[in-house]
Amino acid sequence: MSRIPKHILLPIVLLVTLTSIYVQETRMAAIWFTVGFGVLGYVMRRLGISPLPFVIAFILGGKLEESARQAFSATGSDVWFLFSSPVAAIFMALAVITVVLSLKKTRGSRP
Amino acid sequence: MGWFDYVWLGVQAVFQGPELFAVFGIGISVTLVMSLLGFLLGVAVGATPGLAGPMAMAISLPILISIFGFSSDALLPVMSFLIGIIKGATIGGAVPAILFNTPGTPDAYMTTLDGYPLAQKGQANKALRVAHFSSAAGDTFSDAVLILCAPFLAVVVERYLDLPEKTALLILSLAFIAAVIGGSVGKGLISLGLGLLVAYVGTGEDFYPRLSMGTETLARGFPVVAVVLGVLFLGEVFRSLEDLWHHTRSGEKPVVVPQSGDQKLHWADIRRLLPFISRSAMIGTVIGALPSIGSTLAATLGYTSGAAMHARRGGSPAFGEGAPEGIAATEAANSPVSGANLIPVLSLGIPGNAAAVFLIHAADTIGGFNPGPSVARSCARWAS
Repeated sequence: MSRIPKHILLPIVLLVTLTSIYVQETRMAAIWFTVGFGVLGYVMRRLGISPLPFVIAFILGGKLEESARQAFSATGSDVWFLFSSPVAAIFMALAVITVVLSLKKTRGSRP
Repeated sequence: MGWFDYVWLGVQAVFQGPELFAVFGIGISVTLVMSLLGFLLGVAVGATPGLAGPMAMAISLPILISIFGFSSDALLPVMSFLIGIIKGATIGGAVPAILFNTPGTPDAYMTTLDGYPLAQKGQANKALRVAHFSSAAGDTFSDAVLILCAPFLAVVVERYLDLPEKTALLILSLAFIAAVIGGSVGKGLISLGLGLLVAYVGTGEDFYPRLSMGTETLARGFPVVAVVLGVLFLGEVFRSLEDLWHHTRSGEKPVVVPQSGDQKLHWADIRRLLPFISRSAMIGTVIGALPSIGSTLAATLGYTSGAAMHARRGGSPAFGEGAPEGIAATEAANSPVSGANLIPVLSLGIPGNAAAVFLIHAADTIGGFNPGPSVARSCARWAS
């Protein structure tokens, strides 16, 4: 398997991927979306942006909105619902700290 | 019902599933067969440079769903097939790394450092055996941790975290993912923001479809497979095609080195490798349990810590010149990641890498996913 040259392997992969998407979605628009996002992924890779946060954010996005909406109404439309309980406040603080710390680290390594 | 009962339920579900066929009067459940098939496919895919486990998972998922349909019976065989692919790909990635100096999967890169020199010395079989043994050892360790930790964590999360806390936890993990993956936080945040933007097209609870620009096509939102496969794989395929365009493949043939010397993996070897394996397995499990870091970093960490330990003991040959310890340290670190990565997936629903994204997607597609009792389905992997 490891000796299959890439110029034969890649088109096969492309074909099988597109076919499997069409099998699951059965509408032609899905194929065009895929190609469009493929171009986006290519551009992101060229610019050195990892596509993984994109995918994970896409998967978690719906869930995030749903739980945020439920939490918002469960706390009686409290705008500060993310900060009213200690555990949630700690999580939010950790999120900010993570981003700020790694920002500092990247600054330090590349002055 | 304590969490241990959930584990036991899961084990029973795997082994007493619908019977596919019977051997000597003992029913072999379809789940076990599917996990074995997935494992074999994973090894083949992992051994092919340019194909990775997630790609095989993405392609086989629609096929599997069309075979098993959308029912809760389908969940076990499909998930075990997918998990089998992950495991197989990690092990299979070591094969071309050792034989041809080209890693089949990115996390097998560190294996080439010691595996290829060892194969050049004519001990390829021994190198492969070391790789497989340490892979399996590291994997089993992390599975044990998974089975012990994940149900516990899931129960704790359910009991103590209310809706605001869960929202905050999701935000925290997204921030963590953006900060850790890739070179810079800025780029991670850009990628994250784009992902959220795309996720919110056509969804929401408003009366009009959001961000659809008035078109019927966008109003239904983007299909998950199209987005994930497009960004992850078509992007990769396009880039490889561009690389091919730039330098047409040089016609180098792998040199077949005559095999000689002691090929067997002796008990003494295993005992010598054990400290490296256990240390790397722990590193891999801890790294894997954190979302988003991934097996490549675990392999690198395992290798460097193994190298330091090896240098202190003054063993020979040194790392990088064909030390079996080097292979063991790398392989034992990158395999547990796939097991430990399932801890956040199953207990919190937060994916840690591309493979986990597909597991969650599969679970969402089939439906009937319940993090509690279904956690121990990963026991099926032990069969492979």
